[in-house]
Amino acid sequence: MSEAPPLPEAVEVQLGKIGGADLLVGIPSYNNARTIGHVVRATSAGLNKYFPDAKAVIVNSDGGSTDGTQEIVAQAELSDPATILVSQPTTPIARIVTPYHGIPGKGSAFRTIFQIADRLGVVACAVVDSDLRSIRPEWFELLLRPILEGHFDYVAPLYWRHKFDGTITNSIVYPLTRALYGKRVRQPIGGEFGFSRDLASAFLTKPVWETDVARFGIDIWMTTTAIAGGFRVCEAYLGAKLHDAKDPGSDLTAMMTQVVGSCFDLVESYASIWSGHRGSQGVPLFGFPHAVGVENIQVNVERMISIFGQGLQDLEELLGKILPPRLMDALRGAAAAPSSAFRIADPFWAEVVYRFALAHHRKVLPREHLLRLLIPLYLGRTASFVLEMWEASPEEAEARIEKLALVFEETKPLLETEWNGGDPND
Amino acid sequence: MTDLWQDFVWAATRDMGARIAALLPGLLAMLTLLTLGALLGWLARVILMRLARAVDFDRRTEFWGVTTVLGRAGIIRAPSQILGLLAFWGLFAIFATMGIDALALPGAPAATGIMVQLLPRLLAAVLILVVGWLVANFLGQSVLIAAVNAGVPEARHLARATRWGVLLFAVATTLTQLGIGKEMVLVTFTITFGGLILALALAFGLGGRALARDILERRLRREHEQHPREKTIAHL
Repeated sequence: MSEAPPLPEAVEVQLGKIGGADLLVGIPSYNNARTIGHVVRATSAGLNKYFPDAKAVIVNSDGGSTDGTQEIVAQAELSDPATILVSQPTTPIARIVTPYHGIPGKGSAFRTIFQIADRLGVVACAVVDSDLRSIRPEWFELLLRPILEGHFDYVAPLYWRHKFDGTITNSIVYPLTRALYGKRVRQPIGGEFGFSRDLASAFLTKPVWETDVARFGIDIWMTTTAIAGGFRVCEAYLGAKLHDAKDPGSDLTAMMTQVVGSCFDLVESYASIWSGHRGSQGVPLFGFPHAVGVENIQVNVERMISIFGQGLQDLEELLGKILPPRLMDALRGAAAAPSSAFRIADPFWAEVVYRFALAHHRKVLPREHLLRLLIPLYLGRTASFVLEMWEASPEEAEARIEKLALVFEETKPLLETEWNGGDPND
Repeated sequence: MTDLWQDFVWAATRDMGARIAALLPGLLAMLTLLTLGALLGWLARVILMRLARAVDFDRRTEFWGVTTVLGRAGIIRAPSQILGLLAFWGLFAIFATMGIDALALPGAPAATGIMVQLLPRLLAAVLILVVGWLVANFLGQSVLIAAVNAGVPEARHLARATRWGVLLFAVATTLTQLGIGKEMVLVTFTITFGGLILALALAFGLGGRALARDILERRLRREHEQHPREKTIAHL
């Protein structure tokens, strides 16, 4: 286990004063002055309203913001608590604002939060993103209550999202995690989670803090560690998730390499757990699922298909090291079809993902190259899904994702049989 | 007359015998050294190839892209075999130079000395070339994948240019290390590299004016036209 960096002295002093706590909410941040005030107010309201008798702490783990994020966290107050709270809380909520150390990223921020949770001996923790616009006080009831009273160890979020949103989740992470570990956690990289102190302490013991887990990979790592470690997992329906606008296109490479890279690392770590496992089971759901309005989404399908086609052509030599000729031919066939009829069938896509996992296992190419090589194929699959579901309702799109997840479960023997020996290239 | 003729013949024969007798130990020593070189070279080759197999050298070099590059250069031997051959010929060459020295031929008085003097520079040059080659392939591959993912139509050309740029630099450094035409290499490299950049700048400036304007216009338009209530796909 790698030694966790010591907490800053000011935090140590604060921890000494606080002594212990029942609940902790962690908010990682980096230049989120625009939204973090709202997140802190919602957190305070949620803790005061639903857990008035509990001793609670809010921890902001910041990556060195220069826009006043930390000051806003320290000063954010409910403007009119009486409109939200029926009764006054018995204990004021303590706030800890601290920078984190290590690789810049969400995972390193979480590590500091886990350390503080461990030190305070809290019963239940929750973490929420600092760029949320749709966060509500009820979220904390849903994320913390199953831990406090249901004896669950991990609460994954379930959101109502646009049918074309969360495409890495829908096309890779959800079906792969479900097929491998046998639990249907629909949004394993949702961003907001609840967890027990036992699980926080278990997270701290893992030697992963110098890897992609320290960045975008933290969410899938937490979910998989909870499932594979045999902890009790459930879901909480949080409604819509709207966050501050950013340019996702510019982040795709980092997201893909960190999230999918972490997924593949976990496949490696938990090979003995996922092999021989068949089918999947749902997990208990808390909250009341309901439809909500979501923002429109722009999708440039033509560009995605164009990058897919170019990728097949220009990266043929590299892709040929990972995918068998039969699969390459099938993908070429898809690229040759007119745009309106462009489709990548589920069995082909499931096989692509498993073949990449196998290539990662066998170290066929440098890791970064391998993960980036998946991007053109992923864009192709996303374009295929968008075209197929253009007129579909959100429920139909969801059913389509469930169908894909089943195909991943059916194709899983391919991964198992070739993991320990067989030639992945047929 | 007959006596004189006999004397000459005997003298020449004796002389040749003496010369051969003087040369024979050197010749024998050379043959022994060559045999020893071949034997030790073979032994080193066998040991190295077994070691390479034990550490999965061929698969590792495939991972580094060495096999692909060798294939492109028409070399179909496995990298472990090439390593074995290099060991064999390296050792054999060392023993061969020792053998030449053993002959004590006029004009080849210090073959081993020259070899020993050259060896460190030669090894450094080979190392520079190998590292340059690996870096060129790695960077070429990185550029190719990044350019394709960014939708750059000339991805292959970019990757090729990167690869050859690094290779050119590695070759120039290798030649400088070997002390071959130091100034000439430096001047050639500077002119070639500078010329390439100038040619690219001119090609884009003159030939691609419309394209450059189009790219800038599209970028500016996109920034202005983005609807505030619509967002693009969030991948996570």
